[in-house]
Amino acid sequence: MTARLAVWRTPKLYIGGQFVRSESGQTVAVATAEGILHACRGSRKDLRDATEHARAAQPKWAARAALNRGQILYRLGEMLEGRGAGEAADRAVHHAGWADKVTALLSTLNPVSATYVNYTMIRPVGVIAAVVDPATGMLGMVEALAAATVMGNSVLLLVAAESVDDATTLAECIATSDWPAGVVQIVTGTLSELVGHVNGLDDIDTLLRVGTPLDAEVALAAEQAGARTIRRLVDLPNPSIPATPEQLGRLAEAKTVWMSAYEPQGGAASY
Amino acid sequence: MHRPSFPNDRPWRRARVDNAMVAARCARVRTRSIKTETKDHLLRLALSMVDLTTLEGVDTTERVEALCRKALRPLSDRPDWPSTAAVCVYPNHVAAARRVLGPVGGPVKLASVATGFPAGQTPLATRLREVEQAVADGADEIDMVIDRGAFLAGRDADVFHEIVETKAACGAARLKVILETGELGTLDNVAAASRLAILAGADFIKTSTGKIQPAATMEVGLVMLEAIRETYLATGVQIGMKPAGGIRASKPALHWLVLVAETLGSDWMSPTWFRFGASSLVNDLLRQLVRRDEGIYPSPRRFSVD
Repeated sequence: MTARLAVWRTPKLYIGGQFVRSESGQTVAVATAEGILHACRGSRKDLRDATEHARAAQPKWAARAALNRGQILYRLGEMLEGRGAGEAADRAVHHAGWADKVTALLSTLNPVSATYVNYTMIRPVGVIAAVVDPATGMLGMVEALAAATVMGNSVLLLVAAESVDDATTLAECIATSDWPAGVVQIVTGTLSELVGHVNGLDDIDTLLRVGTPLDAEVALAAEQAGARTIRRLVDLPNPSIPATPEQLGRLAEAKTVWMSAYEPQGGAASY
Repeated sequence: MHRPSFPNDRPWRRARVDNAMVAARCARVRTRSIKTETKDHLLRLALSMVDLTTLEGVDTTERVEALCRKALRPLSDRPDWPSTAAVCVYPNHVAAARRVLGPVGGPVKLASVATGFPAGQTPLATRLREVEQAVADGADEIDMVIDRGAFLAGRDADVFHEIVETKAACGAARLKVILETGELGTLDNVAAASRLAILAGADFIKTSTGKIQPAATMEVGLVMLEAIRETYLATGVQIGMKPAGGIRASKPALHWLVLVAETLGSDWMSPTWFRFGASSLVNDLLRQLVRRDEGIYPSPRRFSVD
């Protein structure tokens, strides 16, 4: 057999279901055991594009049957398993199971002393930007992705250039596990810079921090921007433990419905 | 009123277009960089050039009224930003729109499509009656469609005649002639139809109804702008241009302005001579303007749904 030349993967961003280079054309050099990798340096325009795709995809994703969202997450687990990312695969399977159960846990039927049925249901917050601590590795990325999407949100994963190899593997798994385009985008670059771009985007509903990805100054700026754009900030400080239903609930909004329960035959019904 | 007579030599049919050059020029315009201050100016200018349009079967009086209020003040908390050039509605809604826009002469003009929009396949007598009614109800501008079937079949005299008659029925209202370039097939046909419409008395030539794809491509636009330029150089008569359909974002709108400025010069850079037929474009222009104002790229959900 003849000797083969190495075939290297070209690291790219994953936006709107496509592998694309940063529109800026800029990269961040990362030293790896094999040599130097050039990760795309996601720009402000890349994040704008990613947000537009995420916003467009989110309602259709949320409208899918919960079972189907679970199946797609499970399929992601299968793909990760094939790439030797066992721990991350387990996490995808774990959250896949929550897809058709978590709404039942977090929704309530509220007793009220009037002739109404009163219930609270949960709905996705919308578009989530998840900034992932590189120390949490592939598991951190999958935790962020799975927690956001199992609740019916679309997500922008903001990944440090040093995690580019895992990010590329994850993007390849997503591209081959039936995710509708736009539900997950993966943008690599410098985390403080990417979060700075998110601060200037009004159309992102929640900033999810996985691990401790930001230093105090950047975190404060993100919190201030969040106050200005009415953006929720959610932390999953330790992704080695899967998010609990209560934590998942932070990635959803509660909607309470008052429904008339008047019954002409027998007066007020009791519920 | 002077009614132009049909020139039997049909001079417009001699117009020829070099498709490759048109494509190359449009490609160059699309890559033109625009400086930030110029962009600020052009975004406002583009906003002031929009014919804010609703042409749906589900249009209601309320919807038209809301559209008129949006045309007068596109963003409620920015009263100093320009209003759009006009609103464009079906003839049935002209009277309702006039009530909201106020008496003739206000900042926002009132345009009505007429003549059996969008097909133009109704008898000429009823088409003219439609125009008269729209003008009587208060329309400042009439957007007519030509009978594309007649043009493609070579019955140029019929097309010429219907434009002449419609122009006469318009009275003082300005006449925009919709060529529906998506149905004309070739750029040579677009060049011919543009010249025909201009000779027959069009005040504006307009690309499309918005009901057919492709609509306002830049290639078609350039050919039409060249017809306007040729007319101006030969006769000194200034004709307006209105691309319509498919221009939904600020970036292509700016490209159009570059194309106009390069082809016709600054005399055409005003709502009197250039319009965008659009609806969702307004929200995108507002979005870019708010971004410049506040430093945050606003969510599209901050703007009204029309």
